Amino acid sequence: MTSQSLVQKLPEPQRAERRRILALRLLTFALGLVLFYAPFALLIRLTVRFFHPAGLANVVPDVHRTCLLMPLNWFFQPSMYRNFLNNPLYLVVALLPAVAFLAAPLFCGWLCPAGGVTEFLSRLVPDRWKLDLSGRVEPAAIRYGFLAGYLTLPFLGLSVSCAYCNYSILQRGVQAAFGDLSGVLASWGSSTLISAALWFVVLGVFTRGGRGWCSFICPVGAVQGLAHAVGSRFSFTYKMKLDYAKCSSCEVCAAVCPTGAMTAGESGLQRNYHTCIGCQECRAVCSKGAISYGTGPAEAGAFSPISAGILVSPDGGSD
Amino acid sequence: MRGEFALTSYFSERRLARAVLMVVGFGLLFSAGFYRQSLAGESGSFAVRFPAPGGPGTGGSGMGGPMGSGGHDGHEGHGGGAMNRGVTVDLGAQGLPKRVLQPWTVNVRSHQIVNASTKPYTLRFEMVDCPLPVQWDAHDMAWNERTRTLDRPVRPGERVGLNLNFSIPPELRRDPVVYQGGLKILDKETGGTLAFVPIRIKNSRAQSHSSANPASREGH
Repeated sequence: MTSQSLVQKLPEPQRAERRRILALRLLTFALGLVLFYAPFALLIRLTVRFFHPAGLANVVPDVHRTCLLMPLNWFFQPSMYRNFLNNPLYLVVALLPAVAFLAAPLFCGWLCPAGGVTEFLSRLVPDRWKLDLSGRVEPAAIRYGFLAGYLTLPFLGLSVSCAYCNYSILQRGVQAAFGDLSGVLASWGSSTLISAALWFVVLGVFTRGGRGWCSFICPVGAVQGLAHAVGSRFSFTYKMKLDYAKCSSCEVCAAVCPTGAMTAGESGLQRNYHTCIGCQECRAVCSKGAISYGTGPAEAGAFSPISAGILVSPDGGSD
Repeated sequence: MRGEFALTSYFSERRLARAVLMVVGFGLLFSAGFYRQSLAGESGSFAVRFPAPGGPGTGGSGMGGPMGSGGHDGHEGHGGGAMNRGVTVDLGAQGLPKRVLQPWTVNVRSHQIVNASTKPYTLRFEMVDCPLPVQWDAHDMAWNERTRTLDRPVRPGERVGLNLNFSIPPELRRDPVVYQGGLKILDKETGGTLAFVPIRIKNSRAQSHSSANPASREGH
């Protein structure tokens, strides 16, 4: 069954809750657009107004001022840390894993327009036209490989942070949407063209969930995923929690998960905290209340094939 | 089998599968980096300090002029400060996506234009002998597109940026040398030249033939 058909069979309370979550996320993605992207770039403008950092004094505010990729390149290069003094907004990339450790990668799931755009647009594409990688390839491992390469490439004198940046591609598109075509009409390099095709088309709109780039490639997401995977082991952190005793294995949560972090099968629900973005769609659609967001242990109860309707109990009953 | 990643069925250990996938991701990223490196001629970049040696206001041993093709992403340009080392863009070195989708727009950008003197300068920029339409952008609030000036003083030690997008008109697309000239960085107050960046756009795929590209065309 396609995710769209499963969602259509949801009871009305779950459909209403899902609509509420989607509407809320749409608003927060719009907020992310306003905060980081020209022509608004509110975060940059407020930083300049109140803190007057030297590196931002005269530059046109846009997403490049809060670049999340270059600071990752500088991780093993202390000589580049002076850039943080000129532009403290580069430190945003350090804030994201801290949030992810404590409360899930909320930047990915609620604020990053680069992921939100492809996720929401992919909902308009029929499932039969989309690449379904969930359950076939583990994205987290590939993404960590990308991250490792990302951190070590500078030692070879190479860099990919600008050449394969989906944030700057979205920046060109947002400016064009507001009447400034200079970015779209400017020169596009081969690597940028490839990134645009991968981010928006192949791993974006035409991938199930719309988050293929986020799950397989994005180094910023990789850092947050790692932080969340570690943080989820602690009871004081916020996370999506599973109560296996309540789970009926209806698989709707797995169908709606945009990153394939939820998978379901005969051995029960499996959640991959490395790729979970805390979007709460799984919680919204769960009619059994088996999924919640909060502190405490990540899992509760034991998976019961009987309560999941997979087996029949000796007395002939099943849940 | 749902709930299990398909690749792990080929391995006895899930961890081994994950390690392999990590290596795959690592290798893909490195390949992407080397691919990008192979396309270095697709666009041009430079870092320049002004004023040039012997020019006005030079404090200490500033090396005026361009500092080579430069690195990327905030890295310092490498390759030395030779005055005659400029920027070369080769249309024949474009990657396949660029060649198919947008072959006739090329980019030359600065990593940094640094005031290496002890006095502030207000800058004006000018292309030399350039018959090509150029889209200018300085990503600066004080950038004046019409006059191609930064309408504010650039303080000693301050860095500014410049982005140039050249459009190659049809009549020049078959020339082996599409453009040979450069970017002048001028003192807006006095008109004096503070630095010069040689810029060359060539097409190594074009057949050599006599070019109608007079040297005295007015710059755009």
